[in-house]
Amino acid sequence: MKAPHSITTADCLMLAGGIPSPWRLSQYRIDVITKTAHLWITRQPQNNVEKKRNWFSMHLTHNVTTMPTPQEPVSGPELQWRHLNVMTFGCHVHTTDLLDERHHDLPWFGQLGLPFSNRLSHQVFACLAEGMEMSAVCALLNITFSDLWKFKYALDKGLVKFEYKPAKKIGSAAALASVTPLPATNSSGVPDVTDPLWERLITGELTFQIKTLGLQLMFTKLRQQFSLQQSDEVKLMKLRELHRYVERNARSLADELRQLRELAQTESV
Amino acid sequence: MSAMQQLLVTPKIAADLIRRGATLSIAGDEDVLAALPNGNWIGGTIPYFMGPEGGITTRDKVLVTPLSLYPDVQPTIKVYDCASLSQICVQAPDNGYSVIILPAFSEVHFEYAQHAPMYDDMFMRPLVGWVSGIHLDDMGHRTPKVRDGRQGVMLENQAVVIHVPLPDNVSANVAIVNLFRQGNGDEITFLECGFEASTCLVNGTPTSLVKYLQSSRHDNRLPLVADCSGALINVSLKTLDQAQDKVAFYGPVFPDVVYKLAQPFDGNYETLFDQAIARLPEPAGFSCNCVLNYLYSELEGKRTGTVIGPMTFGEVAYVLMNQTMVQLTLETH
Repeated sequence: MKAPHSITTADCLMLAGGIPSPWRLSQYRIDVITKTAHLWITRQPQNNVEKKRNWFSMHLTHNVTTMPTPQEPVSGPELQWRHLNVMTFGCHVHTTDLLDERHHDLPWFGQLGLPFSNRLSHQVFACLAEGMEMSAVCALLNITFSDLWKFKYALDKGLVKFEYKPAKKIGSAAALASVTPLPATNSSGVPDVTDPLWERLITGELTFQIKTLGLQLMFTKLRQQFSLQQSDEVKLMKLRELHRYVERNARSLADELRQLRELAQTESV
Repeated sequence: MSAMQQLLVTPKIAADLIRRGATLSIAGDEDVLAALPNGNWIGGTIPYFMGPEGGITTRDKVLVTPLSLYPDVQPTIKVYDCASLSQICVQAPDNGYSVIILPAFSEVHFEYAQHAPMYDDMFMRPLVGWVSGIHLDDMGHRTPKVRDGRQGVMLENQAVVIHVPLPDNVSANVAIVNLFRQGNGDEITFLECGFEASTCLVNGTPTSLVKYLQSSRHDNRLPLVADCSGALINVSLKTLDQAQDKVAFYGPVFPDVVYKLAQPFDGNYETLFDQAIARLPEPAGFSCNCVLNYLYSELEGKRTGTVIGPMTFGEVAYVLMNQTMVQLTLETH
């Protein structure tokens, strides 16, 4: 076992980022003002003149650590993904290596067009699948809203898929697991999110007359997104979104809620 | 019940309201808007209005919508660019509504039109607004603009938004009046989102949209209409370019949405409009209508019931609308 002081900064960063050999760090840059760490990952042979710098260097004349300028792309255009945080620092993984499809599936890289590495994408997806609001996900994972929005856009369009089992199964996942949810309503008279009614509405199996513009547009969007999804977890997110809309706007949806309650009662008989 | 009331007034009256601290949304000609004092207001350029005496084109008056009805809750003004636009609904008050004004033909207009349905919390909280424009005589000389009333600068590529919180016992409702109905003709779908299209699918068969519209002798004043769970959403036709085989629209078409060509009116716009608004539960506190309805239905000098408001280059009822009246009402519980 190596003594702690024998581990270089580059080794630390690779360990913290979960990036094993033969991948190696060709360059890194630490910005103490924006609290970001940028790692350039490659499989290219070691460059003998590559410089190593101390992480959080104490001999700074400015707050920004001056690090080697990243090398010119070796094999392709530079790609970048937001990776897991390194303690309180946000971490960005870069590469100029030409990646094939298998490489894009490595945890520290990501899919083309997505802002997050695969490992961070899974964490983000898990938060969303558990019903967390986007602002809470941003705060928890220290990611920007615009990046999260890009990710969710790709998710909603069915461009990416993730596997995740939520802690508490409801709706379609519950049905798949042969769990029979107990229909119920909350204090606002909205059928519970576990009621199979929601899935039957969103798939068009059950219909009701919607008069409220917001619900008409929301319903149309969620139906389209639902039909594009193969993943039960994403479908669950869509059901939660619909339920959240109805619960939130219950006092403006008197007519629609009356129909929903009747449908819920009829279906539970 | 809605207590808001829109007013078509002189710039002097608007300036007095601003100086007295009123929170306002203002529509008017660029020179007039630029000269108004700084204050708690947002504005957009347009010289076309539905006033109390009927449709009017004027550079000398502004249409003012008072928004600060409840002294205990303070509206906030925000300016959004393309990069921050997706946060509009998230930053809206938990109970309240938001009014947005976007400058026509700008990047921020196109970004909003094409991506707003996907924004987080879209549809969750009431959002209305309009797209600013110009006098058609100014086409090629001026550009549509908006103004954050707290600043003196007219903005060409940013959206201004006012987020208005409401007391707990009041809620805001958004509704539209669209006189167009889907015709009984073919189903038209598109493979891509965009403000223009060459090829579409007519009943599933790839077809040139230009040729289709020409062969069916379609009146291009009649929009494409989509049925979104009962809400009829128009996409208006702008130009047919035979040489390029392209049709341009005033709003984007979306994939996975079935459109049909609108059927012609059975009557005149103002009469049908009167009948339609008579069915609305409340008089509107905020409303706007489309300049295409103003032009195509020749509404200058004609009244559309009691409804007044700017006649705009696009309406926002959550998402971008065409040839549609948008209204917002407040309801006390």
